Amino acid sequence: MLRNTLKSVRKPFTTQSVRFNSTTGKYDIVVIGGGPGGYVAAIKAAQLGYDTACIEKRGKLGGTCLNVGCIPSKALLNNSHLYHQITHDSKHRGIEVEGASINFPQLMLSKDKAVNGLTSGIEMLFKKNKVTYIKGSGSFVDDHKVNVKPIDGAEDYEISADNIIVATGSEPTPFPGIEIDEERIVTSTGILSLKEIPKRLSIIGGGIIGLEMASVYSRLGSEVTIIEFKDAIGAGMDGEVAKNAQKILAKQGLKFLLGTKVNSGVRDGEVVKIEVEDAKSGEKKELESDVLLVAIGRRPYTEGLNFEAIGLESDKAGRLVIDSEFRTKHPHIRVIGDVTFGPMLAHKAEEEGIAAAEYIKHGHGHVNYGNIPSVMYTHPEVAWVGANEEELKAQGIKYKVGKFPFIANSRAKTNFDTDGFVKFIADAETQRVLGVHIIGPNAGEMIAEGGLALEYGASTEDIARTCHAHPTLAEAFKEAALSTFDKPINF
Amino acid sequence: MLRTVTRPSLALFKRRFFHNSAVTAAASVFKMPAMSPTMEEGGIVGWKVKAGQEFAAGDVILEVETDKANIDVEAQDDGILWEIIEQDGAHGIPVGKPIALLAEPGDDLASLEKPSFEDSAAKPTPATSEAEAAPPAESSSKSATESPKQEETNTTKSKGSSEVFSSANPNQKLLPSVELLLHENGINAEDALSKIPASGPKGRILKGDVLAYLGKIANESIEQVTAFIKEREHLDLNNIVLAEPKKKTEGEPSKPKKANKSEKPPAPKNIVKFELTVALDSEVSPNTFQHAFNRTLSATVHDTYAAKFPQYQNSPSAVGTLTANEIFDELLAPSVSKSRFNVSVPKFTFHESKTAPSSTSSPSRTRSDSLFDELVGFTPSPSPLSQMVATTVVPSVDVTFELTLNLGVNDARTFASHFELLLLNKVPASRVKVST
Ligand SMILES: Cc1cc2nc3c(=O)[nH]c(=O)nc-3n(C[C@H](O)[C@H](O)[C@H](O)COP(=O)(O)OP(=O)(O)OC[C@H]3O[C@@H](n4cnc5c(N)ncnc54)[C@H](O)[C@@H]3O)c2cc1C
Repeated sequence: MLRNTLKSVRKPFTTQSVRFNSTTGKYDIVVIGGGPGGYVAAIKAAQLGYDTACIEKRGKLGGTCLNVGCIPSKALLNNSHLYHQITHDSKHRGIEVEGASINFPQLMLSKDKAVNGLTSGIEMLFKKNKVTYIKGSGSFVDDHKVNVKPIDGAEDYEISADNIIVATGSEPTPFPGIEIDEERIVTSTGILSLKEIPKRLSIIGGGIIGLEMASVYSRLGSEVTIIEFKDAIGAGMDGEVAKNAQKILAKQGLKFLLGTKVNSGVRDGEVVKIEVEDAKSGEKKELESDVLLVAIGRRPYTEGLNFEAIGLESDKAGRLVIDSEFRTKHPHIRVIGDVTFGPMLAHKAEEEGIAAAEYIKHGHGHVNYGNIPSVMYTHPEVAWVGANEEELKAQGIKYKVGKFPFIANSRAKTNFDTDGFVKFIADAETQRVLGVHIIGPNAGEMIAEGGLALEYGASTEDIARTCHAHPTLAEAFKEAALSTFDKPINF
Repeated sequence: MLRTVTRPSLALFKRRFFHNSAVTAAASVFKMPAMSPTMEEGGIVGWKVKAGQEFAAGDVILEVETDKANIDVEAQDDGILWEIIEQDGAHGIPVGKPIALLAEPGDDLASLEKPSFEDSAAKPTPATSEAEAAPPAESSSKSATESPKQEETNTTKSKGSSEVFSSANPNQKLLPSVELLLHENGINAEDALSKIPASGPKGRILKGDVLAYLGKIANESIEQVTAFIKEREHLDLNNIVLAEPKKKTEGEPSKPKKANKSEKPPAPKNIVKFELTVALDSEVSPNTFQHAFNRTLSATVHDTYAAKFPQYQNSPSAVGTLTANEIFDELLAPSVSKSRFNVSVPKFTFHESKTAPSSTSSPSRTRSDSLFDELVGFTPSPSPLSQMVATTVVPSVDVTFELTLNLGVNDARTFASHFELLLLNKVPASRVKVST
């Protein structure tokens, strides 16, 4: 086939040529992305009186978090924990359960049910607040116009808006050279909907997502190996807490290969072959696994957004560039959530969603980035807020540490669930709370009190002088605070 | 905006701002500053700037009289002294009481909104209204240089003057640690609220503030840790390393680029190369064109499949839902989910102007109902003839892209030629070259 033609090609137009929808589609605010950042921004904007539309291409609202992130992972974590307790931690409590077993499809179904309940809940909230829900993918035409490509295959059309909020989120960072098939070599999305429990599961990346998935499948019976390049797990955790967490998780059966590089990972029929190398000695090893999870982080997602065409900038990591009020070069276009700066967390995206809508309405909004909690939902849970020891050392801030172990807490002892501790870091002279780090049962719920303390500038003495119910795990929180400036009572 | 002479720089509050947001400009209230931790009221020795007059950063605005000394108050930023509320010679003005209104340089004084400070003046402890009326600096929508201003006006000066302290919010419920310390040291709550500079959020007195007031710890300790905490409240947007700027002539940069044209080895058999030249209206910007072309390309891919598989119309991603029957069918006619071909990201080269091709190849513009025409904003030309003059100079664009056939699927070629037909129908190209 070689043709070299100079011809006039003005043939009659095909019927498929797309028409513009020029009569509809003018909004006060258009939000691109219906994840925690986007849907919250849209609802808030509508509540503030704006005619608001939210474009989402997934077919469901809730973004990464509800569909393939926080919610499905927590469903699997909770139910696998329940199973593990029934099989390993009930007999000595006087509970005898015969033949408890996992019905994996049902486990997945139960997860899907949780997800569907929540995503359709957001659709209800959109209706209630009169947010127009546009199922399609959005792409900038100019700084006020967005092209919508409907997911049902209908014709494209354009909408326009006075203000646009971009909340297109993030996607798993690929590992160079490792090809994802979401079957044997999977990202966090694939691992949440496996067809069967793998005998052997290898995980690249010892961050929160990797460790949570490691816990799920290890409880279900998989032999789990975590390969981490750094010498510590739990990116961002306080060093002491991370070490402790690793010890406890190793006791539960997880295998850790720290300081280890992955050279390659290829599927070979029904198994995955992984070559790893000790970062120090250079010694190479081959691992075989049934499933390989690549969980080395997430990167901003802007595919198809066409942001460059309207002059928006991104940084080296792909994050859209904003100012301290989330504005881009076009002041009426703001960016929030995972696709821009700051920690990639759902509650951070939500806070920004509220603040962005408030900036548009009132000219001011507020997110305190010094007070955003992180939680890892393993068992025991790990939760922290504020500064860790490493950060304070780097800044030359003098601090005192107060710690209280759950082994000395009456409720934890009563529950036979005593792994972990509460750790306070407070200013050496004023006892102002600088950071709280918890590893232990229910750490994720308990951390809220730490956030409150930070928000009000409380000192550890203020916490220690606040009455906490007995017997509760929260008493460990109080005693740890007390330990920064005085002796604990129960230890 | 105003500061005492000893004020250190406010670098801490400098954050990244692109714009001033479009909030109606409002004047800011300038309140009687506290020149020492014990100062409760002061007098105005004299204003050094007249009402309506502009001042520059560093100018002395007024002289304040305290029980100990007379002190000059200096401007931190440029501004306008809009209205003087407390005139020269006024005595016994409580700390925090409004004494003047300030405007930004360039503000239109006629349309400026007056802040509601009247009620605040009436209250016994003026600092209250401060906390209520003025938003905290970090949520201010104004420019970076303004942010410190509000911080400024409610700053209570203590020995090592610093931006971390403000006058205490008198409406606060004292923290248990503070209450206890005060009690132990015989200070009543009222005194504490009016005398102890607060480093906590929104004028809250913290345990450390009382310790510093009692002289048990140094102010610097509080300053250091408070500065650290305030720093962490904001995203660090000052050290952004931008991604390499994308070249105009490239398509969507997120996808890996294909090898470039001229000196490349002979293309494999399954690659079809498209080269088009399209004449442009002078109003059409390169961006608009690129966007239009990319959209047309993906619409055409979609249309190609849709022409063969009606179900594709409604479910473009109907992958992985094959029934057993369909799998059998697939052996004969591959399913909709099989990709027949891939289209590379097109490259665009824009020419400022070019001699128009001969009249036969000049696109006629008698219709404008195509997606493409609407996208790039072509308008029907009233007289197509006028464009046919061979010497007319019009801008144009060369577009090249490649189509890679998936030869594993037996009807791939049929799809590709259908795609070609559809595309050339949609794009009013003046020159077309399709080669393998
Ligand atoms: C396995 C896993 C577990 C996690 N667990 C937690 C947790 O426990 N707690 C926590 O806080 N965070 C957790 N996260 C992180 C959390 O999911 C994200 O921080 C959060 O979803 C970010 O919200 P967002 O709104 O910025 O983006 P997203 O949730 O990613 O939403 C963006 C949405 O925009 C849509 N979109 C993108 N581009 C377009 C376009 N052009 N047009 C239309 N729509 C578009 C996408 O389809 C997507 O639905 C987890 C993530 C993963 C992967």
